[in-house]
This record gives sequence, structure tokens and C-alpha cells, in this order.
Amino acid sequence: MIIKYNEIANKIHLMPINSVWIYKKYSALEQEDVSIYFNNPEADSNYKILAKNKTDMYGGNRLLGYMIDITAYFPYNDFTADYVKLLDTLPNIANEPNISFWQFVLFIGNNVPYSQDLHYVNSTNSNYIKLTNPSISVEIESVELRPRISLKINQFINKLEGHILR
Amino acid sequence: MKRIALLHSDTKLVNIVFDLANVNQKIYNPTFLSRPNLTVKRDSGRSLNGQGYSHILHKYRTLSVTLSADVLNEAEITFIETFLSKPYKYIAIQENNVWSGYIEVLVTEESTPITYIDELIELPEITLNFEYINIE
Repeated sequence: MIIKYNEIANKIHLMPINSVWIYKKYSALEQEDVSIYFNNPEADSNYKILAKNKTDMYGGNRLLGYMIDITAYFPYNDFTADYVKLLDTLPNIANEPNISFWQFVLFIGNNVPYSQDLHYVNSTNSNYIKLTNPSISVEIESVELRPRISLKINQFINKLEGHILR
Repeated sequence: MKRIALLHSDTKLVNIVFDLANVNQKIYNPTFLSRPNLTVKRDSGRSLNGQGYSHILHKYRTLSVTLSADVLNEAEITFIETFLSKPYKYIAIQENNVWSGYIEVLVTEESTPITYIDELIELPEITLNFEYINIE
């Protein structure tokens, strides 16, 4: 496969994060159970895919894998009992008995999970980042005049393949 | 760039010329490969008349190699476990694209010398400390 730079040079799209989807399964064959969508996150939501290196005997860096750090902010201040219970549940999905796996999907750009009606911002292309069994933590902070939820997800992966999809 | 080949065998090798096609062999690009370090074993002391002495008994070489997560996966770790459990172990070293012959080595560790970088299960690292069988 040969990729020529002049063929990809002008294909830089604005692709804001537009949705987060978390679901869990009790077996690989089952339909997803407990799907949770967080749509239309705030604009300062971000993700970083950082190289994990080790210095070798020549002083060079050997690439061992990648650490994915995702922080998504969601404006919300209607803290009902059910919603607070949901926030408590999210980081503890891994502790549930009989759980097979849970997956986290970050939708970027013009990407519509199922038929959710989302607002796109200057976006014609799409990507998504898919992680299996990542760590999830939930924080609540106040910004300007409102509280907001910050959802922090991180995971180490060996290869980008299978995790960053289009 | 240096590379190392690990070869295991149930019997002692008759021909020690490196063979790229050997099925019981794997070649690695290590994160660290020391030069063969010479150890000189001496019997030293002082005689009754005060004369110091240091007689050389024997000499042998040791070598340390570190394989990191960039070359290790489950299959490679299984191969190294097999390598460590076989009676005859050989290494060959490639330097400037020239392979040495097979060198018979021994290991003294009882368990597989595996650690995990930053305690991440996805980042195994194995450091093998070899001692050359043939003394000089």
C-alpha cells in the first residue's frame, strides 16, 4: 500500500466530539445491555492518544503502545436520584458479577450512533474511537455559572488498529 | 544494530554454524544487549613470607539481554519459556549484519525473569542473564 501525501494533504476536516456511548454485555453473542448515550458534549471535550516509549541501548525510543486519555464534558445540573445512581454505576461496571465486557465508543465528527438526532459542527467526515473494558471515572465540577459532568476514560492499547475506526 | 537468536535443543549441537532456517529458533531485536563480559576467577591471598599471590583458576563470559514489549507477545513468551526449560540452550549474535556461530549458554534463574513496565500487563519485559558454557 502506497499513500502519497499530496492525495491526503487537503483532507483535514473539523471533527468535534459529538457523542459518547457506553454499553455492557453479559456474553459476546448478546445484544448490548444497558446502553448509555451522552450526546452533544461541550466544545472543550478532548482526547489524546499518547505514545508509550522505552529508551533502547542506542538512545532511541521503542514504541510499546499508546495511552488513550479521553475527557468529555457534559452540561447537566438536573441531579435526580436516578441520574446520581447512574453516575455511581458507571465506574463500577467492571465489578459486576457475570459481566463479559463493556465497550466505550467516542463518536467524532459526522457520526450518528443509531438514529440519535445530533447537531454537527462544520463536519462532513467521521471517526470513532472504540475501547473495550476501559477505566471510567466521573467528576462533577462547576464552570462559570453551571455545574457539569466530566467523564474521564483511559486505557492502554498496543496498536491503533481496531480502536480508531471510520 | 545488534540482534540475538535464541535456539533450544534436546541434544547437543554438532554443527555450531548459524542457521537462519532452524525451526527451534527465534530472532529478536533487543532493547538492551550487553557485550560478553569477562569474569576471571582467582585464588588470591598472601603466603607465610608475605608474598601476595593471585592465581587465575578459570575465565568465563556472561551476557545480559532485555526483550521489551515491542517484541514480546504471548507466543514469544511461550517460546522463551520453552527455551528456558530445554536442556541445551544456544544464542547467536548478529552485529553489522554478520551472525556469530551458536554459543552454548546456561541460565541460573529458576522462574521466567519477566517484569511489567509501569505494572501494565500489556507491557511485559524479559531480562535473560546468560553464562557461556565454555570457559576460556
